[in-house]
Amino acid sequence: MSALCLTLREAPAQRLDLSMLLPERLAALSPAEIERLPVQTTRRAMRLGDVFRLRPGDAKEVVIEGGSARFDCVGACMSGGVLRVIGAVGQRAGCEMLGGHLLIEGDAGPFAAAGLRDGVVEIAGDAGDYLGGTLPGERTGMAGGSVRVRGSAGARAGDRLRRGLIIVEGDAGADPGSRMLAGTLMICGSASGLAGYLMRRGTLVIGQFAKPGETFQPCGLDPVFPRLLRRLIAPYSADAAAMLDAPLSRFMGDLAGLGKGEMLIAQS
Amino acid sequence: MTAEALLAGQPASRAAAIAAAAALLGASANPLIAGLATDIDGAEAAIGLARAVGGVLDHTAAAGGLRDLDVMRQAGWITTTPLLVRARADCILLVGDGVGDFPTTPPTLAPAQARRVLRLPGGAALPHSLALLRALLAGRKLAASAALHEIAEALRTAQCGVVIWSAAHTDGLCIEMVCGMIDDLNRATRCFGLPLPGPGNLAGVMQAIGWQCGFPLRVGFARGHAEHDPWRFDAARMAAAGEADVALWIGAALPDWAAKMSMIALLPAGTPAEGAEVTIFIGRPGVDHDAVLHEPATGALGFRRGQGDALSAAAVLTAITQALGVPC
Amino acid sequence: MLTLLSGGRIVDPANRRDAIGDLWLEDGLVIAPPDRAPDERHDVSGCIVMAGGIDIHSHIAGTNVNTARLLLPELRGSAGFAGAPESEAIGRLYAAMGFTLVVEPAISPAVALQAHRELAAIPFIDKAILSVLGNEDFGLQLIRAGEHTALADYVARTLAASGGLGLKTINPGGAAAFARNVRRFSLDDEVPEYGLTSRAIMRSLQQAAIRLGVPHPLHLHANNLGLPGNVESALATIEAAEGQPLHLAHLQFYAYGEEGPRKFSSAAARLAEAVNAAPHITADVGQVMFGQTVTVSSDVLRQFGARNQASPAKSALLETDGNGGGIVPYRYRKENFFNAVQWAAGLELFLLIADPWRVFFTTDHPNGAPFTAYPDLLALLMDRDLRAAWIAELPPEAMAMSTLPALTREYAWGEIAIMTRAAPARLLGLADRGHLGPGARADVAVYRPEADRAAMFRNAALVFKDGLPILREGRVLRPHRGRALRLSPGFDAAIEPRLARYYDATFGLAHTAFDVPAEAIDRTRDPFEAVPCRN
Ligand SMILES: [Zn+2]
Repeated sequence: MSALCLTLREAPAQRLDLSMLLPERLAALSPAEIERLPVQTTRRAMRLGDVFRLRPGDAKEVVIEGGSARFDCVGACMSGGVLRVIGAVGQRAGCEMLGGHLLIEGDAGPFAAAGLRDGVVEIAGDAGDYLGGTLPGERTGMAGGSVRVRGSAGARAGDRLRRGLIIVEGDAGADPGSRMLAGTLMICGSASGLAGYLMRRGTLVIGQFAKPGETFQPCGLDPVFPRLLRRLIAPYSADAAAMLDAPLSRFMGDLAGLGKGEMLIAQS
Repeated sequence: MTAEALLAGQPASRAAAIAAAAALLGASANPLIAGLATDIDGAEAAIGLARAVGGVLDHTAAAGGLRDLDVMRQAGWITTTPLLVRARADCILLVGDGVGDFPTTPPTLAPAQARRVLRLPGGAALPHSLALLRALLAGRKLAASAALHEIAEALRTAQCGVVIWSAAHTDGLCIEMVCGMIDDLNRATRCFGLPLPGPGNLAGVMQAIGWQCGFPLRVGFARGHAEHDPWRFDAARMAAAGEADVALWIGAALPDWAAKMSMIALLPAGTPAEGAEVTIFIGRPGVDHDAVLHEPATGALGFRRGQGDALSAAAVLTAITQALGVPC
Repeated sequence: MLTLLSGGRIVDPANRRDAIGDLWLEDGLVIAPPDRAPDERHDVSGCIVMAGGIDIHSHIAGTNVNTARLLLPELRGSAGFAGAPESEAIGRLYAAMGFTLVVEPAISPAVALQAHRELAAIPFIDKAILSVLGNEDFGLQLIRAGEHTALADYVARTLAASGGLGLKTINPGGAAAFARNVRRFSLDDEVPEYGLTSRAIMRSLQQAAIRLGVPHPLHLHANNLGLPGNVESALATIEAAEGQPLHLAHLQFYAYGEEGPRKFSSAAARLAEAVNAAPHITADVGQVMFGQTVTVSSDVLRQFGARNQASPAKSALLETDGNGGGIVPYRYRKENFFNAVQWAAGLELFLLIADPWRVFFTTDHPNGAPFTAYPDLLALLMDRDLRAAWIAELPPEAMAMSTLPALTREYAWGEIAIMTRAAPARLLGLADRGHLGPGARADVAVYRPEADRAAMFRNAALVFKDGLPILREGRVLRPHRGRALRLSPGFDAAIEPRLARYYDATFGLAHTAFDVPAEAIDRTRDPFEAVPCRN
């Protein structure tokens, strides 16, 4: 049986809350019930069926054909199955996800994979600010799972990362790896701003970065480590694996705090 | 005599303007109530209106307030009030821009007792200076300027150190670094942060939203209950993205995105209001009418007697809410 | 309008009434049965009818409570968290349980205006604040100088200006000592620079309240809250009152010994015995219930120490002249040995303090639990089998550190009515509340008994405020706005210029900067209701 498919009728006139489009939720609903799900975020009531044409199928895989930067919370709190968006999404894609596979074949807005617990998030285009970060005002960043962005990421990628892996194959915006507690954040391109600011532990690998702050101290690199990391991440990203083949400079920080984080820079 | 209200730029009666505002808001799909430079009565009335029309609440200075708030609620902090600073601070560190020239800036700090006043200037070096300062205080052996060493020693030996910043001018990560340093210092001595409040009674409005909604700004009511989402309910972002169709604005002047939607402007008498469909002129809280406002000098809400009994934002907002005909 | 509640069981211990009968309400008051037909008649046969409940200690307003609201966006809306509801929900949920008066017990005079604005935003119920003194420089100076008359004037002026119903002191001297870098502070420790002990501060304020005729005795949050072995502090504090009236807040948090392998045990039995033997002492319990909450306290020294146990791991501390405050989220867990001992200790106090007129029903909302846990707690007090079922789910090694498993007492309806109605009214000096005799305020709660007592208490069948039905089974029947109860004690005006000089020299401010005029709270109606002092 083929995937359950939702085809966008036309660009939505308001931001939509698509947090209910989860394989596990839709599997329990009839097509009519699915079409009646409310998706509005404004006073104008809107049902899923107003926005999408539904093609019933096996909800273990849900496909959304057509995207919009107004699709919020796609895959939020998802716990299993496959959710594929052929197009862009708005904020909070895959936030607080517990498992499963979320594919965005387009750009994602801010807070993609924020507070991720487990599962896989892949973004073929660019990601916005706070990729794999924290939700506004909340304390918990990403605590597991993996995130791969083919394009670039916005500011504060991996903010308060606690566990898991984030790979940005393009460039990162300002201040990647801020407040990292542990985990691994890899940026194949360049980074700017205060990379690793307030980082406690964890590993931040950057392709090109001018100079870490003064509270990051250069130190020697055990050549075994990049090889181990390479083995770990090779299945996720050839670009990231290739970056680890280059000579790397290693810094420890942020010495303003605990200072047990490491920053590896391919070219500075 | 100057007009009390304008409709499409032409003088109109206040009653007509209120009816027009209610009609616009009532028909709106996603109304914004923004600016929010108002007193506590005005803030509470704005919340009531937002509930009634399913609107979004944002304040013109919310971005700075949220930077402070996010440090508190993502990392925690130890802060103080202007009262303790005046009475007991023996060492004050002014961080970055927007803290003015001590002791003339609000909150004015009466130099009642001998104290050292030190400064870390704003600019691109500030985040690195703060990180180095905190590292020095933690006993790290790092190369640093004599000035930073002096500041570190002053904070370490102070009995009551206070670090002052203005979130309107300071990056959130810098504020978190400052608060982390203050936390470190409190293991052995006492040191406190003093975040300077933003303009437009931001601190007061934030408090009122807190007790009325259970959340800080920014808040929306379109789905029948309060939702807190600082990104989604950012008025300037919503305007740029074409997500709101009507805005009620309370402030000194219209925002630069005013042309993006139908505007209902509550402005001080005599303010130009080009482009607003509905304009109602109101008094300045605490000046033209009595008002409860956050007082930077005390760090608390206070009552200010006005010179007269001018129309308040609260009166207008309540009248609009009643004109909606929505049961409250 | 004349209203008749017919056929209910009227439980009104203040008037020695517990019988099936009628209750007549008119113009906001309970009246003697008239010989007229009622305009409105409610058949409440089969139901329990009591006066509206009164909570003497619940953190429902003020800057610290509001900080808790701003601090925890991730918990709002999540199941089981009611640690910091918005003002509207506070009023509605309290009223649904049949409570009609709630006292916010910890308002620093410098932030009283905001507290009263928040109280004004709480619908349905009446409310009040207690004004906090005992750590601010001006008061400590007066106490040090032995100026007891001036101190009483200062207390009276502060109560009047801040709109307080009583006087509270929180770890007296402890916050001032902590501001001077002291980290532990007990009854006989001195505040640096002042040479004053906590005992001296507490006694001075206690006597000031007595001298002014403040109906409510000094409301004391004692030293060493939450620490193992702190029962010694509590016992010493009871002694220190020297036979004069004193109210001990959230006594459960001081009922800890240091016995057992983990050096933490319930000493509630000893403490209850001491309270039983000291008729001048009243106490509220501050019961712990399991689940997520947030601790909100002006004991900034204690909250600084509690930061490491924060869950979620964040906190906000405020230091100022006076008490400041600390907001530390916390989750009480059934599996946690210490939390289970705390839960048991609170119930022991309820069950072992013999006189229901002297033990008060609180969870120190939200510090021991949100007030929404009240229905479960009332059910536990009334049903030993229910307690046994809870005990069976808790760590046996924790239950072994308490006498609770052996206690068989069950609260009767009359005792519940005393503890939650009659006694609080008497403690606060409110002659027209807490009972259902003619002339009483017509605040009435009607409960329909059912097997699940918690469900019965959560949503009263019918609640009347000022003679009007406002909620039925949790659903709002009509909007209602209560008032804030306040004292207006007289004092010698000579304290005014003295305060003016002090505020100008110390803070560069007018001493009236923090006053709470009625028009600052509500311009359309008087937000206050005056309560007389005893002299
Ligand atoms: Zn308390």
